[in-house]
Amino acid sequence: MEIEGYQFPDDLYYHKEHFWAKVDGHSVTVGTTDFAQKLAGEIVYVELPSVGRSVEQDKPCGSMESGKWVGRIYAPLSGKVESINEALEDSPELINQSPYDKGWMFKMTPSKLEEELGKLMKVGDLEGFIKSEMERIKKK
Amino acid sequence: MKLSRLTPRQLLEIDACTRCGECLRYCPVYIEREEEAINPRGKIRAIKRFIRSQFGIWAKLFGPKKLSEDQLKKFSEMVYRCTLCGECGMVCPVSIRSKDLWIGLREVLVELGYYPKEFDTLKKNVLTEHNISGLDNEGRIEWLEAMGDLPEHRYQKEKAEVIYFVGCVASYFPMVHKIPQGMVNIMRRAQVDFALLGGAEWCCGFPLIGAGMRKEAEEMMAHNLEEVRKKGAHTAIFTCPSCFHTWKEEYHSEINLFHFTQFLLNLIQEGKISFKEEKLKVTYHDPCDLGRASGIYDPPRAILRAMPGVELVEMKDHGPYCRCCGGGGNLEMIDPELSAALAREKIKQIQETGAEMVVTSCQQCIRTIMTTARRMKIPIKALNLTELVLKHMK
Repeated sequence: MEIEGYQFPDDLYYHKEHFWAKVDGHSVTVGTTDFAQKLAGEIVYVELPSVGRSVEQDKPCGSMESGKWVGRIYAPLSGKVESINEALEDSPELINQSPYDKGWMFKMTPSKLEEELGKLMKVGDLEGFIKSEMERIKKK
Repeated sequence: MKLSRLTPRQLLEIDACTRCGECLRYCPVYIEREEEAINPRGKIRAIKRFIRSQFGIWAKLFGPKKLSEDQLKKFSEMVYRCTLCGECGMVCPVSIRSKDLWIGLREVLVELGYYPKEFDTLKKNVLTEHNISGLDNEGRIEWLEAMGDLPEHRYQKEKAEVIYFVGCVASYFPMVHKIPQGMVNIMRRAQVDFALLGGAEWCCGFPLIGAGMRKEAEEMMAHNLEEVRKKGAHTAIFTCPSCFHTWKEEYHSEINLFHFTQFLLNLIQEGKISFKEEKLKVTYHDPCDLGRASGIYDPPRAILRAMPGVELVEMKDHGPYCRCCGGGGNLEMIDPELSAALAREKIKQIQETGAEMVVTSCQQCIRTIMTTARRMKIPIKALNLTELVLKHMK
């Protein structure tokens, strides 16, 4: 689905800090949205959580920077990090080029999936949220 | 135009410029853009013209001319397209302290309201969150979390002899987290009694001073000094050359201030740090605020000489003449293309040495060089001296 010129695939769950979660059985893949990558500009470095680390929903677990901007990576769900996208170390621009595919950040095993999924948004909930975020950013 | 922001010395300096053009041979911005309007001579010429139009004989007879919006906008562009590298002042035959003059002119422009709008965000971030990133200041030491084997106090002890003042860039930007991590590891291996201020550390004030907002920086400086005193520390050390320089020039404190290169050299000379032999050919980049601004050229080189097997090859322009990487003066915020163009020139000089890596002592230089190298797919390696020391430590 396209909202205000930004792409949001239908099969993902979305976190309010602009990260997505793709649930595939007992594994969840995490990345940042098209909206966030466009806002950040060309990503030049990403620090991902280490493999084996426990992350908590809504809490920062890494960071990324573009030339003049830095932001945190938030965990959309709680759980244990199983693997990270090592390609981002040399090619962080994959986040800009392919935020939902080659630019994925980490895979995790969720610990409270059923309970926490309800706090995330589906694509149908996004339109108002993205518009309000655009307004908020404009005012900054 | 009010000139109250300029000192009598600066007004004399403006008059003293002979337009000889020596600065043009060294100004990295002029070398890149070749525009008279943004070189040091052009800037002084423009301010001279403004002063005459306001205070000259014709202004006295017929009243001062109102400066047009367009003139002020153009002048603002001239003054802010500069990395504040200070090379123009260093080579000036009549000793114009041009870097201070550029900052003074920025203060005049801020007073008039003609400054890049990006600086409003910077000001807001620093005044509300107390750091340049705008992120929560309590998150200043998140880089510590990635380090294993931390003591219970997590280096935020109530009292310590030495305070390590980390600075905003190394605290928040992940590309350079290895600098504070490396510094902490070196100090714990050398058994230095040190503490971090954590969330009580605020921006040192340098970005605001560089933007022409000195008044706003005063609150930051008073707070930081108070926090260091509370810890009972007699020494503060810095990995950021700009924080170090700002503390040295603006804080007027009784605390002993050391850039990490000076501090580590002392530890090496006291035998607390020794190195294993490893063959490596490196070149060294002098950060502007450490070299030209603070006069520290030898300590980093002495550290490299103390590492067996490390060969130092100098760049064409080095020491006092080291070419700025493009990362200074908040230039990246207002003209990222110009900043990147200066970095490309720097990378060229690095590559000409044939060294395996460039070593430097500044986080911003690493970010500027590596960001440009990555974008251009140039396979060079830039390392902070803390990382190299840690890697070669016995």
